[in-house]
Amino acid sequence: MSPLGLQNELTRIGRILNRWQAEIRAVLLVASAIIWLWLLALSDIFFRYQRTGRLTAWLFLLAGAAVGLWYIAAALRNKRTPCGVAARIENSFPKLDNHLINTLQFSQHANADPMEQKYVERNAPDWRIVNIKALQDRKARLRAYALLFLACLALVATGALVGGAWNNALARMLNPFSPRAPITLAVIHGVTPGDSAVLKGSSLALACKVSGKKGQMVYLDLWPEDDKRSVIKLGRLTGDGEETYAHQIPRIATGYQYRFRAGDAVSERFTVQALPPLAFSRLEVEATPPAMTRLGALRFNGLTATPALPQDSILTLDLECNRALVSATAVTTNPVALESPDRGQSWSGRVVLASTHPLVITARDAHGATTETTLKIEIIPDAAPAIHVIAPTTRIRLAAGAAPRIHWEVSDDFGLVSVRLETIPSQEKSAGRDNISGTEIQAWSLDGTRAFATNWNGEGLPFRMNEPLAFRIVAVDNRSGSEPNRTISAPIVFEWPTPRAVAVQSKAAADKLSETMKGLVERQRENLEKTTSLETALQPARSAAQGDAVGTVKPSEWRDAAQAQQVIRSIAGQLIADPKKPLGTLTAPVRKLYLGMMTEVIDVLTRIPGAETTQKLVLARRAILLETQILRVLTGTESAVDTVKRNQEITGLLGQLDALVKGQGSALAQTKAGVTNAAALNTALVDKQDRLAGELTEFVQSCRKDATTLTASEMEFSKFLTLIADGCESNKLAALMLKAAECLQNKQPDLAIPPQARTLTSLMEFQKLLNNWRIQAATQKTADACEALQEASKKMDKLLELESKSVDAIRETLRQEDKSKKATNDLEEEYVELHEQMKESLLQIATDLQIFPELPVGNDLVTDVFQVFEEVKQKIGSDKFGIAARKGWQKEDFYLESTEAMQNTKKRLDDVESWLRDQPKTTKNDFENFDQQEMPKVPIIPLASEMEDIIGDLLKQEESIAKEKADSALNLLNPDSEMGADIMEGLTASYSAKGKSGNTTPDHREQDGRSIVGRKGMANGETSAGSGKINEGDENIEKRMTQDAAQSGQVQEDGHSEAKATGGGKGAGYGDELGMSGSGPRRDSKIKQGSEVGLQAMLKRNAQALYARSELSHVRTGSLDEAILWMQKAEDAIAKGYPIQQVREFQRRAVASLKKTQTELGGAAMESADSAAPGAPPLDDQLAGVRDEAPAAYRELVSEYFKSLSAAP
Amino acid sequence: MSQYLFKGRKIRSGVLHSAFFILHSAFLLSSAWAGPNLAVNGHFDDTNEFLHGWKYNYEDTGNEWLAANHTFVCVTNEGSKKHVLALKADQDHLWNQGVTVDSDPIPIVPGARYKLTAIAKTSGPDCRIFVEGYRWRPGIKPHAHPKLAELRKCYRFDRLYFGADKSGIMGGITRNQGWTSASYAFPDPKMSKLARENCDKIQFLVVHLFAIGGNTGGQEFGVLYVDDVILEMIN
Repeated sequence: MSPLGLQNELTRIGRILNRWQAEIRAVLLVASAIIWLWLLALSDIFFRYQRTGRLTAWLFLLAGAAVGLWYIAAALRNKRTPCGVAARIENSFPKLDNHLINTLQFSQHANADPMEQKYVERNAPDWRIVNIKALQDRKARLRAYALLFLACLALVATGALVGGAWNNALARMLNPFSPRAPITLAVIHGVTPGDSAVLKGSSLALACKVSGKKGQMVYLDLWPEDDKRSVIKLGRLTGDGEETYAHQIPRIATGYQYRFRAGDAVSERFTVQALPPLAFSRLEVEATPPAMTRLGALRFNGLTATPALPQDSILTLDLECNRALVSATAVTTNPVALESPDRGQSWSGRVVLASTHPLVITARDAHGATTETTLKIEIIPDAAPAIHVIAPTTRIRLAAGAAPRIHWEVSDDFGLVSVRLETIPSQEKSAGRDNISGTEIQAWSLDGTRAFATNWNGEGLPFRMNEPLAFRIVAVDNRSGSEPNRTISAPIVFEWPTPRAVAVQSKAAADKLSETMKGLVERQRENLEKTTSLETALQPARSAAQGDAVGTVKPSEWRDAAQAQQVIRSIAGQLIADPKKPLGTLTAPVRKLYLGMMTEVIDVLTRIPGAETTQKLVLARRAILLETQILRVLTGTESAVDTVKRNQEITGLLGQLDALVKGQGSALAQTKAGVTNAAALNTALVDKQDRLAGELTEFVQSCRKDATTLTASEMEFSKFLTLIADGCESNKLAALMLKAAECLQNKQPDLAIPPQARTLTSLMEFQKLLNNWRIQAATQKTADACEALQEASKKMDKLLELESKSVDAIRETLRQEDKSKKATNDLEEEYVELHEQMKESLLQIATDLQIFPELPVGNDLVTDVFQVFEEVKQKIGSDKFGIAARKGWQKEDFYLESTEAMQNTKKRLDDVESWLRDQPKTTKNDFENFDQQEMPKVPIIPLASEMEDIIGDLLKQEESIAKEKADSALNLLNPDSEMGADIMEGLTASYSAKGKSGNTTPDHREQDGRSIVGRKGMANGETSAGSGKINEGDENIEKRMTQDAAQSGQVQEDGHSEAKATGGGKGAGYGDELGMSGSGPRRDSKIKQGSEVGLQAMLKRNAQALYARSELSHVRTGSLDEAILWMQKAEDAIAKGYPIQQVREFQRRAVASLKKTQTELGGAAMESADSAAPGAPPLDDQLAGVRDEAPAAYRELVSEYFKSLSAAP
Repeated sequence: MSQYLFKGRKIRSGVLHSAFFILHSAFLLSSAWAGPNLAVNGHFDDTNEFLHGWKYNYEDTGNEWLAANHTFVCVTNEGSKKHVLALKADQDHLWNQGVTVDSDPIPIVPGARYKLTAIAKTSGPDCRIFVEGYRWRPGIKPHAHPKLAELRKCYRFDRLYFGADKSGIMGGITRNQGWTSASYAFPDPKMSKLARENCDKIQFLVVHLFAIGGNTGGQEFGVLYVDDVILEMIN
């Protein structure tokens, strides 16, 4: 065989060897796989692998197979060299004796030597003995197949032995993905809910359906995320087919894993995810109010903020939840779906607040959980405009020719577009409805104004006086997006009755009033008698005499009395609430009665039946007292009704004359205008003139009538009336007026003017006459009233004096043991002596005032003043120490010399340590003072940069002793001196400003000089402290001004003390009381301009004075009395510290009444024409309090009520 | 082990030692309860500087009355007592400026109560010994070692009364009393509103020793001796 052939043959043998090697490896791989499978199947029978275990085992099997295949492939790929194969052959066939290898190697030598060449040329001798099959490793091959056989045998044998379970196990292991369950004695058919997600806090039911042999236990294995595994025993199988076992977890707080076990059957392990409740983590809202509101956009947190938004605002919502959502909606009236770009946690959308319904936002997640939130916004609805007619408030009667006047206010929450005044048929009574069309009289275009008020005057408006004229006000707001809100006021009706009709009505009203008052008095008298008799029955003595038990009066009797009193109050209430004001100036006392005693007596009478026996008598007496007082006031009112009526008649007559003058003046002006402008001459003017003529006739008749009736009471006025009536008739004024009317009707204004002018002149003369009488009468009445008040005041003083004397006498009598006449004599002597002392004191004051010279003023202030407090224990009993010594001090010359010597001193004298005294002073000092002319100019020593004040608690001293020890006034002074030791009131005045507050009150005497602020006293010197507190001191101070009333500098007061001004003209002090007028500039309080209650009281006093003056002068007062009432209530509310809202409400009502008065008095006489029975006075229910203080909770409730009233537009 | 004979009985020295230890501990405990003396060198026994912790030179105040105050103050031995403060004054001084010594400022603990104790003896002068309250003078930046000149007085507590009368403006010590001890606690819990307002301002305490009033006892100079000044916080 050639070398090349040998190599090829060896290569072929090498591949054969590889195949044999691969075959063995493949057999071993299959055997291993079978054994592994056998092992797994066998273990599955016992361990029942779950999916994970099966998968793991299967993966191992797969991995082993992969490794085996790679190993087989490696065997096949193995590249054997010819030499290697030759060596293998040489090894198997030793007979070759390395010839084969040698031949192979020598043949590869390029320059082989001859021996080698020769050797090669032998061509592998003995090759033929090589048998390839002999090269095969038969033993290994046999073993591999044997192993394979054994593995197969084991697999089959085990299957034969175990049965179906083995095949099931094999199938489970070969296909780990199959749901095939291991063969068990029990079978779990299903588990609910399997893998699931549950909301935290909710309950969860875990259940399984099981069947199997009887007696096997069913368990639930639970693996909470935050706890160790727990096993719950669910029951024992009954063997009756499929059974269900369940376990309830009442409140899911964390995630779980669970599985069921039934006998040898085990379910998969399932997971329950505990979800937190779905919630909004962010809700941002941007609100864009409608343009009409002129409000800017508002961003707020929708979860927490509670803004108030106008209706029709656009809301842009941007929300985020704690997990992804599937939907989100916003619901007002209709649901609006919100959008999300990724259907994740963030959603957004836009909603219009078209209604006042709350805005609810709902979100839903993938698990079906929902959450919702309601935006806590207050939706401000665009309310309709509010119309408040201030005057007139009822149907109004006007004098002839008088134009109607209406004062009203319109307000809207967001703005008004227009306000119109329309006339409507007078029969129309609908309020706030638009079912009829009106005729526009005037319109006001408003550019979004929120409030509009006007006092409309109908001068020039053509109207017919023979029928009522009705107006209404129509207000339209600026609501956008829908129909604007529109409000229509109630009809405002004016009528012009004839004077005769007015007179008839007035007479009827007057008669009715007299009758009512008479009835009222009679009722009260009867009830008082009844109450008195009931009280008598309650008295123990009387009861005993009559053999009755004490307090056996039936409760119903007391209730009847209370009921009667209630009726009386009701009638009084109707009288004071009558808009015609029949009581006139008597309204105020009756109103006071109505709100006070009439209310209280009802309460007292009502409480009597339920009270204790002893208390009943007390209450009954109280009721009698109240009823007596009520009767007294009512009787007085009844007797004064005639006077009021008379006054009203006079006022009415004067009003008639005023109206005639005004009407005629107006007609004349219109007529003059008609000369150049024919359009001014209309039917209304003719009617007016004609009507004026009629009015005049009626006026003359009234004058004659009243002249007769008033002769007795108002003789002078009666004479005037007769004079005026005669004048009207002699001047033929009525005829002149009719003539003017005729000319006007004939379109001859120039001819109408002379009679009109003549009439007007005459009327004005009469008016002047009556005005003079008014003034004289008012002056006289005022003087009479003043005199009466003075008399009353004197009587009061006398009473007071008598009372004081009586009290003193009683005290003195009680104090003195000796009751002989001598004591009285002593008392008289003492009184005389005291009187003399007072005279002396008064003289002394005058003397003291002479000694004080014009003293220098430093005008310097030390701002750095510091206080040292010193503790002092007062010497026991020292408060009662009397005068130990009385010293007299001469006006020594050294005072003058030292003063002069210090003229050029620039340095202050040093001081030694000083301290507070432990007892009040025990000496009384009297001084001889210098004449003012003797005194040199006092030098002003420069102040220190800082000043020390020493203060302590005031020493106690009996007031009488203190007065005894009071020193006399002095003008001995020092510019400076060395201070030290005891701190006390000095013997001389000092300009060193070294004074201390000390612990005693300053002497009650004038004291000049300079000092710090210190204690309250009579000093009229100058303060040198830039700041300080006025401490407790002398309380008995006469107000006095310093001679230099306006020193420069400003003292910063520490706190505020109500001290009286006696000097120290620095611009610092202030007070609410009126002080003495001085020469200094005015300095108002830096805190506030007087007190609120003072201001309110002043306003009320002004209004009362105006009311009184007007009534005295027979001038109409309109609703001024109502304004005074509300002012009084406001004043009381401030004084009692009621909530400011309540005060504001009273003040608001006072202002409304004043506006109403303004309108009522602005034109011709306006009188209420309503004949309907008046109701209760305003705020009757709210203010009808009783003597007992209402509970705090109730007062709070009332306060809240007033707050809501104040909040109303 | 050594033994002692006590009233005829033998007592082991260990028992004595134990008794001594207990007594000593009780003493230490009582001392600890009362608190340390806040007044520096209150016994005037600092041999390096006898008046260490006390101000007696007032030349810096510029007050002419006090310019020579320090020449009347010394620490001396009086009888058996070593190292006592002596305030010497002639009659003129006793009628006018007196002789003054103040302790260094002691920071106050807000709300705490203190007790001042001192013993004194006089040859004639009376005294005013009390504690004063101080606070920082405006414009001075607070620091750890304030001087009296940097503070401003704002309160004077009650005085030590050495006599029978426990009221008045003077201490009431007389020459016949010999060494007399006096003490008082402050602040008074029942002080008035005005006192409370001022007391609340106190930041430092100063013990004020002041020889004033009285007489010289017939000599040219009278001497007020003060020793064992103890200021302690009691609660």
